[in-house]
Amino acid sequence: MFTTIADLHQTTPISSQSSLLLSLIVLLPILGALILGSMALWSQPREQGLSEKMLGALGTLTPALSALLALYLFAQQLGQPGLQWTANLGTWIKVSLFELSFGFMMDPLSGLMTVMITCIGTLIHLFSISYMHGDRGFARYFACLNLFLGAMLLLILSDNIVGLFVGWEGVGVCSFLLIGFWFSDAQKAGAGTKAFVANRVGDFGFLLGILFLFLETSHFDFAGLQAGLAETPESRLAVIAFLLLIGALGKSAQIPLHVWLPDAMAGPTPVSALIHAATMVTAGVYMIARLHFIYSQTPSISLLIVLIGALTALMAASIALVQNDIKKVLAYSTVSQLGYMFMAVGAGAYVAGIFHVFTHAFFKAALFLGAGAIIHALHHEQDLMKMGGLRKKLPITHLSMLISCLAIAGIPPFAGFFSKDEILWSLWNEGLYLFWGMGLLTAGLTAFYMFRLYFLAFGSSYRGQAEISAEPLLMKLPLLVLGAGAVLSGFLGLPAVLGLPNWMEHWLSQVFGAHHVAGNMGLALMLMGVSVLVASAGILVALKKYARLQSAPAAATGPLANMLHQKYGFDLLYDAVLVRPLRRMGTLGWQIVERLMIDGAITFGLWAYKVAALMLRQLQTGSIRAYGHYLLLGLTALAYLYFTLHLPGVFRP
Amino acid sequence: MPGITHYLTVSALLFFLGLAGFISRKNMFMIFLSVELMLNGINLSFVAFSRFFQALDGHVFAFFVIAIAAAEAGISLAMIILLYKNRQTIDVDRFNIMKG
Amino acid sequence: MKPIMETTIYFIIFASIAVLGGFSTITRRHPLSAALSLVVTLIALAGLYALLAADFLFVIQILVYAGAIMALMIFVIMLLNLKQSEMPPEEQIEKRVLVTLALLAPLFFLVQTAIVRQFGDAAFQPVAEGFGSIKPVGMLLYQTYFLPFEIISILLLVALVGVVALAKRRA
Repeated sequence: MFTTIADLHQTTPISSQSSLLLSLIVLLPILGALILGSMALWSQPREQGLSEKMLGALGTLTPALSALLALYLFAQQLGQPGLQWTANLGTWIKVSLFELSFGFMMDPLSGLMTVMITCIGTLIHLFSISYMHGDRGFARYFACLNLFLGAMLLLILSDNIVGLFVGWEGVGVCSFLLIGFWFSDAQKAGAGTKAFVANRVGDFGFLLGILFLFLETSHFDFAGLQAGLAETPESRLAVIAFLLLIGALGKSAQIPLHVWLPDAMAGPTPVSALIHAATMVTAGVYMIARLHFIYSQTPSISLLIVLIGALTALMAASIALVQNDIKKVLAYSTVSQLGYMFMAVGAGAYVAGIFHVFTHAFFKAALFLGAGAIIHALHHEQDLMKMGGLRKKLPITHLSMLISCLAIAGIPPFAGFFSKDEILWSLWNEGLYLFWGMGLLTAGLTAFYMFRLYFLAFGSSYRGQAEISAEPLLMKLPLLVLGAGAVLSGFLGLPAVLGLPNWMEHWLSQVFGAHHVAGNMGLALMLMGVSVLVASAGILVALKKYARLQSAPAAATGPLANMLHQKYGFDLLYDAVLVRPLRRMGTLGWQIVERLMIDGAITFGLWAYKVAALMLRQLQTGSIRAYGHYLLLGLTALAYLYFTLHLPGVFRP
Repeated sequence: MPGITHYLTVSALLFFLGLAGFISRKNMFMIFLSVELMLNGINLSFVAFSRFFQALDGHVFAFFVIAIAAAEAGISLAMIILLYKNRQTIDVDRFNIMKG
Repeated sequence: MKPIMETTIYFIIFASIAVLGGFSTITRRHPLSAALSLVVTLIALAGLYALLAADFLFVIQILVYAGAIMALMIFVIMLLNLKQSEMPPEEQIEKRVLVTLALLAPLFFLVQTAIVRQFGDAAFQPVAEGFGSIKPVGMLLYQTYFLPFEIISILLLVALVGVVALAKRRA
């Protein structure tokens, strides 16, 4: 069922090559963040901010340069299989025998991720220039976005798990800053805090996991970890795997730490596209894939991952059915797709998981940017019920979103079909039929709610009042590129079982080892047929229900719909179990410790001083002679003290 | 032959006379003169100690006391003149604006 | 007469003049009389310094203290030229001073006891030739006590500036 270390042995010999260009990929966006951040600070108190053109160009330049560098290094990797780029910027921590360096490492897995992140990041920066036009925090926005990209690349490219953790925390901070970007709105600021707190819960487990790893192996770098864990018994590995999984659950918004992601839509839409769809939330999947040598040895934890992934996928997909906010639909869809990825990595199909991360990044970024374009055109209207008939007004957006909807629904030959089917096929092949069924059901639901979104936004006629403005060029360009990606990226992983060349499998086998899926071609074709049928059924239901909608339909009622509207009560539960008790404890602490004890002590001290002053000021007569008498009194006391202490015999008779 | 005890007794007598004057008189000039008397009482004991211990440091201290007395005289006389100009009195009991 | 007797007599004379002058200083009604009494005390003290072989201080006491400082004092008192009516109303000065002295007496006896206990009837040892003359005092002043000496000079300067500042102030 699960491959062993021996199977994972590298097929191609690794040849490491050092290049400082690799560190530049990470450092460039961070440098950009520093420059833009100081510009933001400079322009904050001034009426007239800096020119948006300049800021936008600068903000997009660093990701673009990073993307070029990443493509250059990746192209060399392509030409020379087994090539692994490294860079070392010197020692970071040195404590007696233990030494940690600022090291970067780009193997086939992180190379693929880097290329994806930098390219999509650049496109989203480009899109943001139009989207954020006229915002007071323009410079701050680009600074945060650049910083995010730097942190994400650090997460991906670090050659040790501590660097990964720093990037992990860095993206968390940027996510917090960008969700609460419009912080004057208390609800949006609260959403940022919620995301941060939920992530912190996960990070706690992650950090413990890292410490246990160090305890076990005395290493932080991945190569050392892999070698050091070869002898570790499974029970201990399982503890580590579980702790690390908690971190992944927080970052990738899986049950029970998924509650932050839908709220994270409070941030600007391009941020949702970049951070909360394409890159950051996939960090958990990446981490599990990166540490595959742990998870492939712990079947129980892997099964837990599959279970969590399946539950999350199904739950989020069902909630998405009743959402009317265009961004909320996409948010739940993201949670659901992340569930797919978890199912894949849990089932040991790391290639399928990463493949889905890769394709998902394209079509989900396209969907979010499309949503952003719609929101921009409708002047910040996000309610699907007030859209409709946008096909004519926003042709490029429509095209890109149609492709992406088809892709996410799993209609061949769009990207989602290949990656999703790869996952379903792996589940079936591992004998996890129940989860295969859940995945299939989720696929049907996905097709339905995505086309519900599509028809509500683009079909029929316009139901809103807001004036529709045209889509700017800077928005069209990224939409087109990402739409093309949503069509083409699937061809990188054609199903091997049908005898087609699966480049993704081949490429990542350098990391995960050869993982030949021997299967029945007929069975595979049949399963594909079933999933395509289910997806088509979902689309058809949506078509029938929403395509010719004239006015907004009444909201669904009934116990099931209620439960979906309540999002299965997770928020209510957390509110009752965690938030309110904590708040009550805080109030108690405020009343007793702060008000009664600290303030009380100060107030009492003040009162005592007042009384003392009232008495002592009677002595301050203002008369010099009175002061002379006091002096005399003091002198007498001092003389008495001196004589008794130093001349003990003086008072003896 | 008078010993150090006698000199110190004279010194203490002068000091206490000055102290009595300082706390019992109301005239600002008198207070000032009482302080001078106390300073001289102390100076005498410095010189006596110096002679007794055969070390000249006491002389130096006495010298410093004289210098400080000179500075004090300058300042306090100027202040007395200023106070008199303002209030037409040198009665210390009339100056109590520092009353708390 | 033996020189020892001589010293004793001189001590009794100077000490009596100093103490009586002191008493006179604090009991005069008019500050001018008090200032003149203080001059007497200062000169008597100078005599005691001479008995204690403090040649340099003897000169300084007469020239600077009894001379310059007291001259300034008397000058200021005469400048204000206070009439009897402008004096603070003080009745029965002698009685008040005596009562105060009586109150201070216990403290004085405390000090006196301490002095006797500490030194008893310890006598002065003869000193070397030139003890307390200007040269050794000057050497000490400009070597060991150089920094305090400079600080004292700055203090005098500050006092000078202060006096000018006070005098220039107009009510």
